[in-house]
Amino acid sequence: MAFDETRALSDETLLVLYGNGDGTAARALVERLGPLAYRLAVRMLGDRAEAEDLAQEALLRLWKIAPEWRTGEAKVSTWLYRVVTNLATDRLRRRRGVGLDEAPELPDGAASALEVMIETDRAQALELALAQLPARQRQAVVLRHLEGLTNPEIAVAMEIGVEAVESLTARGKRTLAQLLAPRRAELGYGHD
Amino acid sequence: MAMTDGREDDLDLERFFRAARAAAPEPSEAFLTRLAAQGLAEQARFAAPPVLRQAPKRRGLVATLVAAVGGWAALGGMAGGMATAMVAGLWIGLAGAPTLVQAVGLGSAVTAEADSYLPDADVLALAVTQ
Repeated sequence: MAFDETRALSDETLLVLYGNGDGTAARALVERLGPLAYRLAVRMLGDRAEAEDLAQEALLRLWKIAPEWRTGEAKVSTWLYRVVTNLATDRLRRRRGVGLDEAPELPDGAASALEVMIETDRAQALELALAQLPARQRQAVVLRHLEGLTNPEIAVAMEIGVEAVESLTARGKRTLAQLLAPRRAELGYGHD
Repeated sequence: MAMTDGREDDLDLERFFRAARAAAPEPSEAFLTRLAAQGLAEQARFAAPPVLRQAPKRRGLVATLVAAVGGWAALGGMAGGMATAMVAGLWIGLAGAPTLVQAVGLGSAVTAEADSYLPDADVLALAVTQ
Protein backbone atom coordinates (compact mmCIF):
# COMPACT_ATOMS: atom_id res chain seq x y z
CA MET A 1 0.00 0.00 0.00
CA ALA A 2 1.36 3.40 -0.94
CA PHE A 3 1.72 5.90 1.89
CA ASP A 4 -0.62 8.38 0.22
CA GLU A 5 -3.37 5.80 0.19
CA THR A 6 -3.32 5.70 3.99
CA ARG A 7 -4.58 9.25 4.30
CA ALA A 8 -8.14 8.26 3.51
CA LEU A 9 -8.13 5.47 6.07
CA SER A 10 -9.27 5.72 9.68
CA ASP A 11 -6.91 5.16 12.58
CA GLU A 12 -8.70 1.94 13.33
CA THR A 13 -8.36 0.63 9.79
CA LEU A 14 -4.67 1.45 9.87
CA LEU A 15 -4.29 -0.36 13.15
CA VAL A 16 -5.95 -3.45 11.73
CA LEU A 17 -3.69 -3.26 8.68
CA TYR A 18 -0.71 -2.89 10.96
CA GLY A 19 -1.82 -5.95 12.88
CA ASN A 20 -1.98 -7.82 9.60
CA GLY A 21 1.64 -6.99 8.85
CA ASP A 22 1.34 -3.84 6.74
CA GLY A 23 4.48 -1.78 7.30
CA THR A 24 3.10 1.33 5.63
CA ALA A 25 0.32 1.37 8.21
CA ALA A 26 2.96 1.55 10.96
CA ARG A 27 4.49 4.66 9.47
CA ALA A 28 1.08 6.24 8.89
CA LEU A 29 0.05 5.60 12.49
CA VAL A 30 3.27 7.14 13.76
CA GLU A 31 2.68 10.21 11.64
CA ARG A 32 -0.79 10.63 13.12
CA LEU A 33 -0.46 9.44 16.67
CA GLY A 34 3.19 10.09 17.48
CA PRO A 35 2.76 13.87 17.67
CA LEU A 36 -0.45 13.45 19.66
CA ALA A 37 1.20 11.22 22.25
CA TYR A 38 4.28 13.40 22.47
CA ARG A 39 2.35 16.68 22.69
CA LEU A 40 0.08 15.38 25.42
CA ALA A 41 3.01 13.92 27.33
CA VAL A 42 4.89 17.23 27.22
CA ARG A 43 1.87 19.08 28.50
CA MET A 44 1.34 16.59 31.27
CA LEU A 45 4.95 16.25 32.35
CA GLY A 46 6.52 19.52 31.28
CA ASP A 47 9.69 17.67 30.32
CA ARG A 48 10.45 16.91 26.69
CA ALA A 49 12.93 14.12 27.22
CA GLU A 50 10.62 12.35 29.62
CA ALA A 51 7.73 13.00 27.25
CA GLU A 52 9.56 11.19 24.46
CA ASP A 53 10.09 8.25 26.74
CA LEU A 54 6.45 8.20 27.73
CA ALA A 55 5.19 8.59 24.15
CA GLN A 56 7.39 5.72 23.06
CA GLU A 57 6.02 3.54 25.83
CA ALA A 58 2.46 4.45 24.86
CA LEU A 59 3.06 3.63 21.20
CA LEU A 60 4.68 0.35 22.16
CA ARG A 61 1.47 -0.56 23.96
CA LEU A 62 -0.45 0.31 20.82
CA TRP A 63 1.76 -1.94 18.70
CA LYS A 64 1.33 -4.79 21.11
CA ILE A 65 -2.43 -4.53 21.30
CA ALA A 66 -2.89 -4.18 17.53
CA PRO A 67 -3.29 -7.91 16.73
CA GLU A 68 -6.10 -8.18 19.29
CA TRP A 69 -7.72 -4.79 18.64
CA ARG A 70 -11.49 -5.10 18.82
CA THR A 71 -12.91 -2.94 16.10
CA GLY A 72 -15.85 -0.68 16.78
CA GLU A 73 -15.34 -0.50 20.55
CA ALA A 74 -13.16 2.57 21.08
CA LYS A 75 -11.47 5.24 19.05
CA VAL A 76 -7.77 4.61 18.72
CA SER A 77 -6.97 8.21 19.62
CA THR A 78 -9.14 8.04 22.75
CA TRP A 79 -7.43 4.81 23.75
CA LEU A 80 -4.07 6.52 23.29
CA TYR A 81 -5.14 9.57 25.29
CA ARG A 82 -6.05 7.22 28.11
CA VAL A 83 -2.76 5.36 27.98
CA VAL A 84 -0.72 8.57 27.91
CA THR A 85 -2.79 10.04 30.72
CA ASN A 86 -2.35 6.96 32.89
CA LEU A 87 1.36 6.73 32.22
CA ALA A 88 1.76 10.42 33.00
CA THR A 89 -0.23 10.01 36.19
CA ASP A 90 2.06 7.21 37.32
CA ARG A 91 5.16 9.25 36.59
CA LEU A 92 3.82 12.31 38.36
CA ARG A 93 2.89 10.26 41.36
CA ARG A 94 6.38 8.79 41.57
CA ARG A 95 7.95 12.15 40.93
CA ARG A 96 6.06 14.09 43.54
CA GLY A 97 4.92 11.51 45.96
CA VAL A 98 1.69 13.40 46.57
CA GLY A 99 -1.93 12.63 45.90
CA LEU A 100 -3.21 13.45 42.46
CA ASP A 101 -5.75 15.91 43.74
CA GLU A 102 -3.41 17.73 46.03
CA ALA A 103 -1.78 20.92 44.87
CA PRO A 104 1.96 20.62 45.18
CA GLU A 105 3.92 23.24 47.03
CA LEU A 106 5.22 25.89 44.67
CA PRO A 107 8.98 25.60 44.47
CA ASP A 108 11.01 28.55 45.67
CA GLY A 109 11.19 31.16 42.98
CA ALA A 110 8.34 29.69 40.97
CA ALA A 111 6.33 32.87 41.17
CA SER A 112 9.12 35.04 39.85
CA ALA A 113 9.96 32.45 37.20
CA LEU A 114 6.34 32.52 36.18
CA GLU A 115 6.48 36.26 35.77
CA VAL A 116 9.54 36.02 33.55
CA MET A 117 7.90 33.43 31.42
CA ILE A 118 4.74 35.46 31.07
CA GLU A 119 6.74 38.37 29.78
CA THR A 120 8.51 36.33 27.17
CA ASP A 121 6.07 33.70 26.03
CA ARG A 122 2.40 33.34 26.76
CA ALA A 123 2.30 29.72 25.82
CA GLN A 124 5.18 28.88 28.09
CA ALA A 125 3.54 30.86 30.83
CA LEU A 126 0.51 28.67 30.52
CA GLU A 127 2.72 25.59 30.47
CA LEU A 128 4.37 26.67 33.67
CA ALA A 129 1.04 27.46 35.26
CA LEU A 130 -0.32 24.08 34.17
CA ALA A 131 2.61 22.44 35.90
CA GLN A 132 1.41 23.93 39.17
CA LEU A 133 -1.98 22.27 38.94
CA PRO A 134 -2.82 19.02 40.64
CA ALA A 135 -2.31 16.26 38.08
CA ARG A 136 -5.93 15.38 37.49
CA GLN A 137 -6.97 18.99 37.05
CA ARG A 138 -4.12 19.52 34.62
CA GLN A 139 -5.11 16.46 32.62
CA ALA A 140 -8.71 17.57 32.35
CA VAL A 141 -7.77 21.11 31.34
CA VAL A 142 -5.21 19.97 28.78
CA LEU A 143 -7.55 17.46 27.20
CA ARG A 144 -10.42 19.94 27.09
CA HIS A 145 -8.76 23.19 26.15
CA LEU A 146 -5.56 22.21 24.38
CA GLU A 147 -6.44 18.89 22.81
CA GLY A 148 -10.04 19.86 22.11
CA LEU A 149 -11.71 16.73 23.43
CA THR A 150 -15.33 16.82 24.51
CA ASN A 151 -16.20 16.15 28.13
CA PRO A 152 -17.55 12.66 27.36
CA GLU A 153 -14.33 11.86 25.50
CA ILE A 154 -12.30 13.10 28.44
CA ALA A 155 -14.44 11.00 30.75
CA VAL A 156 -13.47 7.92 28.73
CA ALA A 157 -9.82 8.91 28.58
CA MET A 158 -9.60 9.57 32.30
CA GLU A 159 -11.94 6.76 33.26
CA ILE A 160 -14.17 9.03 35.34
CA GLY A 161 -17.67 10.44 34.98
CA VAL A 162 -18.57 13.49 32.94
CA GLU A 163 -19.51 15.44 36.06
CA ALA A 164 -16.10 14.75 37.54
CA VAL A 165 -14.54 16.04 34.34
CA GLU A 166 -16.53 19.25 34.58
CA SER A 167 -15.53 19.69 38.19
CA LEU A 168 -11.83 19.08 37.52
CA THR A 169 -11.85 21.43 34.55
CA ALA A 170 -13.59 24.19 36.46
CA ARG A 171 -11.26 23.93 39.44
CA GLY A 172 -8.23 23.78 37.18
CA LYS A 173 -9.25 26.89 35.31
CA ARG A 174 -9.88 28.80 38.50
CA THR A 175 -6.39 27.96 39.69
CA LEU A 176 -4.89 28.85 36.31
CA ALA A 177 -6.63 32.18 36.37
CA GLN A 178 -5.16 32.87 39.80
CA LEU A 179 -1.68 31.83 38.71
CA LEU A 180 -1.75 33.87 35.52
CA ALA A 181 -3.50 36.92 36.93
CA PRO A 182 -0.48 38.87 38.22
CA ARG A 183 0.91 39.68 34.78
CA ARG A 184 -2.24 39.47 32.76
CA ALA A 185 -2.74 43.21 32.38
CA GLU A 186 0.84 43.78 31.30
CA LEU A 187 0.47 41.22 28.57
CA GLY A 188 -2.57 42.93 27.20
CA TYR A 189 -5.03 40.58 28.80
CA GLY A 190 -6.53 43.20 31.07
CA HIS A 191 -10.17 44.08 31.20
CA ASP A 192 -10.22 46.96 28.79
CA MET B 1 -6.32 37.89 43.18
CA ALA B 2 -9.86 39.02 43.64
CA MET B 3 -11.82 36.78 41.38
CA THR B 4 -13.90 38.56 38.82
CA ASP B 5 -16.85 36.84 37.33
CA GLY B 6 -16.17 33.46 35.71
CA ARG B 7 -16.94 34.61 32.19
CA GLU B 8 -14.18 37.21 32.16
CA ASP B 9 -11.69 34.66 33.48
CA ASP B 10 -12.73 32.26 30.77
CA LEU B 11 -12.10 34.87 28.11
CA ASP B 12 -8.65 35.63 29.44
CA LEU B 13 -7.73 32.01 29.81
CA GLU B 14 -8.89 31.28 26.32
CA ARG B 15 -6.22 33.65 25.04
CA PHE B 16 -3.59 31.66 26.90
CA PHE B 17 -5.03 28.43 25.62
CA ARG B 18 -5.00 29.73 22.08
CA ALA B 19 -1.37 30.75 22.41
CA ALA B 20 -0.51 27.33 23.81
CA ARG B 21 -2.36 25.53 21.03
CA ALA B 22 -0.48 27.56 18.44
CA ALA B 23 2.81 26.71 20.10
CA ALA B 24 2.07 23.03 20.54
CA PRO B 25 5.21 20.99 21.21
CA GLU B 26 6.18 19.02 18.12
CA PRO B 27 8.25 15.86 18.15
CA SER B 28 11.47 15.79 16.18
CA GLU B 29 11.72 13.80 12.96
CA ALA B 30 14.37 11.65 14.57
CA PHE B 31 11.97 10.74 17.35
CA LEU B 32 9.20 9.87 14.90
CA THR B 33 11.66 7.76 12.94
CA ARG B 34 12.52 5.89 16.13
CA LEU B 35 8.82 5.34 16.84
CA ALA B 36 8.27 3.93 13.35
CA ALA B 37 11.30 1.66 13.68
CA GLN B 38 9.96 0.39 16.97
CA GLY B 39 6.57 -0.24 15.37
CA LEU B 40 8.09 -2.17 12.48
CA ALA B 41 10.27 -4.20 14.82
CA GLU B 42 7.29 -5.10 16.97
CA GLN B 43 5.29 -5.96 13.89
CA ALA B 44 8.04 -8.23 12.61
CA ARG B 45 8.06 -9.98 15.96
CA PHE B 46 4.39 -10.90 16.04
CA ALA B 47 4.00 -11.29 12.28
CA ALA B 48 6.88 -13.74 11.95
CA PRO B 49 5.70 -17.19 10.95
CA PRO B 50 5.89 -19.65 13.81
CA VAL B 51 8.97 -21.82 13.88
CA LEU B 52 8.17 -25.03 12.04
CA ARG B 53 8.60 -28.10 14.17
CA GLN B 54 8.76 -31.63 12.86
CA ALA B 55 5.39 -33.12 13.43
CA PRO B 56 5.62 -36.56 15.00
CA LYS B 57 4.85 -39.37 12.55
CA ARG B 58 1.60 -41.11 13.21
CA ARG B 59 2.02 -44.80 13.98
CA GLY B 60 -0.44 -47.57 13.90
CA LEU B 61 -1.46 -49.40 17.03
CA VAL B 62 0.81 -52.38 16.41
CA ALA B 63 3.80 -50.17 15.67
CA THR B 64 3.08 -48.15 18.81
CA LEU B 65 2.95 -51.29 20.95
CA VAL B 66 6.10 -52.64 19.35
CA ALA B 67 7.87 -49.36 19.97
CA ALA B 68 6.71 -49.42 23.55
CA VAL B 69 8.63 -52.62 24.23
CA GLY B 70 11.76 -51.52 22.44
CA GLY B 71 11.14 -52.19 18.76
CA TRP B 72 10.97 -55.20 16.54
CA ALA B 73 14.47 -56.40 17.39
CA ALA B 74 13.66 -56.44 21.04
CA LEU B 75 10.39 -58.11 20.31
CA GLY B 76 12.21 -60.84 18.36
CA GLY B 77 14.48 -61.52 21.26
CA MET B 78 11.56 -61.39 23.61
CA ALA B 79 9.63 -63.88 21.51
CA GLY B 80 12.50 -66.36 21.67
CA GLY B 81 12.92 -65.76 25.34
CA MET B 82 9.22 -66.14 25.95
CA ALA B 83 9.16 -69.49 24.18
CA THR B 84 12.06 -70.67 26.25
CA ALA B 85 10.45 -69.39 29.39
CA MET B 86 7.17 -71.06 28.57
CA VAL B 87 8.83 -74.41 28.05
CA ALA B 88 10.90 -74.02 31.17
CA GLY B 89 7.85 -72.94 33.11
CA LEU B 90 5.87 -75.89 31.92
CA TRP B 91 8.61 -78.26 32.96
CA ILE B 92 9.03 -76.68 36.34
CA GLY B 93 5.33 -76.56 36.89
CA LEU B 94 4.75 -80.17 36.14
CA ALA B 95 7.92 -81.78 37.40
CA GLY B 96 8.22 -79.73 40.48
CA ALA B 97 4.60 -79.50 41.54
CA PRO B 98 4.71 -82.11 44.35
CA THR B 99 7.98 -80.72 45.59
CA LEU B 100 6.59 -77.21 45.71
CA VAL B 101 3.45 -78.33 47.43
CA GLN B 102 5.50 -80.13 50.03
CA ALA B 103 7.77 -77.17 50.42
CA VAL B 104 4.90 -74.94 51.53
CA GLY B 105 3.68 -77.53 54.01
CA LEU B 106 0.71 -78.79 52.11
CA GLY B 107 2.14 -82.19 51.45
CA SER B 108 -0.50 -83.89 53.57
CA ALA B 109 -3.23 -82.37 51.51
CA VAL B 110 -1.95 -83.88 48.30
CA THR B 111 -3.47 -87.26 47.87
CA ALA B 112 -2.10 -90.30 46.17
CA GLU B 113 -4.71 -89.75 43.45
CA ALA B 114 -3.13 -86.46 42.62
CA ASP B 115 0.15 -88.22 42.06
CA SER B 116 -1.47 -90.67 39.71
CA TYR B 117 -2.79 -87.89 37.48
CA LEU B 118 0.63 -86.33 37.05
CA PRO B 119 2.74 -87.77 34.25
CA ASP B 120 6.19 -88.82 35.07
CA ALA B 121 8.59 -85.89 34.99
CA ASP B 122 11.10 -87.68 32.90
CA VAL B 123 8.58 -88.47 30.25
CA LEU B 124 7.51 -84.87 30.07
CA ALA B 125 11.05 -83.66 29.82
CA LEU B 126 11.64 -86.04 26.95
CA ALA B 127 8.49 -84.85 25.19
CA VAL B 128 9.55 -81.25 25.43
CA THR B 129 12.97 -81.85 24.02
CA GLN B 130 11.51 -83.75 21.09
